[in-house]
Amino acid sequence: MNRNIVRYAAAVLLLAVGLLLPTITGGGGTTTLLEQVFTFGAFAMSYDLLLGFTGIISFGHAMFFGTGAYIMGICLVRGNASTLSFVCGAMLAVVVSVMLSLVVAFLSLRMKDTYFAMITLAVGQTFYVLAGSRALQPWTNANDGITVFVPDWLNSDYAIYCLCFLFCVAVAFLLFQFVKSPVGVILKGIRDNESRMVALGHSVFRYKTAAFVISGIVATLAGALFVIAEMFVSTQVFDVSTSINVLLMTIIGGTGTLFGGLLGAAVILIAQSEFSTLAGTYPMFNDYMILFGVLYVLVVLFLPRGILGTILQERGRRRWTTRFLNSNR
Amino acid sequence: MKHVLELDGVHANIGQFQILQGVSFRVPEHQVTVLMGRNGAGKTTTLRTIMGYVRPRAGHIRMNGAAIGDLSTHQIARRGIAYLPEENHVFHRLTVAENLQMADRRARDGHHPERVERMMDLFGDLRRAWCRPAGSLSGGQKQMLAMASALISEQPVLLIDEPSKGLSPGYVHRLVEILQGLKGSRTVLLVEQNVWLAGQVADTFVMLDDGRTVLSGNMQELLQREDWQQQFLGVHATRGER
Repeated sequence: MNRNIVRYAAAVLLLAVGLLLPTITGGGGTTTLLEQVFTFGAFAMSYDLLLGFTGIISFGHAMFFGTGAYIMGICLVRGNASTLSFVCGAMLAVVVSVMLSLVVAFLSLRMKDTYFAMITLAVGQTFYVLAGSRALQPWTNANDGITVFVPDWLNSDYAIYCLCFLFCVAVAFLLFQFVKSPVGVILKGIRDNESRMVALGHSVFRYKTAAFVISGIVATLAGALFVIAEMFVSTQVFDVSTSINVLLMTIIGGTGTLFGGLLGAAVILIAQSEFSTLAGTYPMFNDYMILFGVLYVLVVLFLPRGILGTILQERGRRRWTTRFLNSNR
Repeated sequence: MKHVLELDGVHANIGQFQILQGVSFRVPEHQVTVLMGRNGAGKTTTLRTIMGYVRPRAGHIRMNGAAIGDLSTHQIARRGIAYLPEENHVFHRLTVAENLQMADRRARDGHHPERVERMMDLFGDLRRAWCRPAGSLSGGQKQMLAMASALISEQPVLLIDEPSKGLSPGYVHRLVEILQGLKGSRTVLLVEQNVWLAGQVADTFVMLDDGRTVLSGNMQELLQREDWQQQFLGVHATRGER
């Protein structure tokens, strides 16, 4: 009872601190950076559902992120940035992400790991080409991208920040509930030993598809929020580098930890921002991507479970298992 | 006597190699049937073919009279068959508790904590290792966990592939007790090279040689026929491992 009260109090405190963070940090560029952290954090958590909990490596997850960004962007532009266009954009993004993920799952999830990764890469790059094509220019503005205006109630940095923060909190909460549910445990079983799961009578394809669809919905909504935060969307959101970035965020934060994705997004985006600032004074930081390469190699060598994964490992598996069992009894 | 599983002229290939070239036998209900033969005779492939991991090229596989040869593995499992492979039979990154819950949590059947408790009573070692990752268990403990996983779902038919392989004598005796306890309530098809163990637990036997059924009958008869043991296994029971 007391433990629950402490837990709820801590959650409320964290929520309050999160909502007040822009006023503490002074707003401006920091708020924009935090918005990116929360949208990419949600995107990375959706990716961890695939990589860390189901054992699926996708090189085309940006197709969902980009689809969400373009759908919301187009809806806001066509709907004159009305609230209705925002709601329609979000709903359409969910519908399209479900359809897209079902099609890609049907095409690829029966394949072995490498073939699956190649198919997702190919589909993802198809979206990149389509977004920049002249045929779709009336909708996507081709390589020039779309400048987006947002509804009046979102027309402040703080409102957009709150939207991104609350979305990230909701995603973290819902995905956490999902991964500790019976279905979540089955997904971990698939990651560990797919052949054994089949022998236990589980339809592995169905569970993988469910994970893919849920992951796709979250990634699409994260993309939809990204375009609101940036007020601009270009073909870059579909680029393979976006998929690689979210893969690295998940690995650095810790695969199979869920919240590691958020941590990884924070580490990478804040480091990128700091290096860019330093590059103004020290030209050597212009090539900060080299430093990132070194960082990735160090993490893989010395923290193969990622930052959060290593911390959890140190705290001991026993405590987590006991908690898991208590929550399931 | 009712026969739960029936194989009739089953042929199966692995890649370009023809492994099964006419396997036919019947598994009586609530009895332990042991599938024997030299290395490479096709014992494991027979179990994998029954489970749908290997598609039969010809012949029929029936369970309770219904054909299962065209079903996918998870559909076959849902018909009521638990399969315990020789290797790779636990979830290494999951704890013992999670392994058992995974096996118990079949999609159609829900979760039954009392079954987990029963397995803990049956396999005392597992209770002590409850929170440990399965990958950190000893070979014997892993085998016991795999056995518990196969038993917990209370499937009527068990296919077990060489459960005694690599086990210490203590674990082998424990295994014998467990398998003997299944008689009368479960139908077991067991692949086993250990003639002594097979003699302790099996009611009937099926002998495979070069992918074909060459003998089948009462286990006691096989134990008495040293010539069969010499011819098809290269051993006889009195020299078997204990």
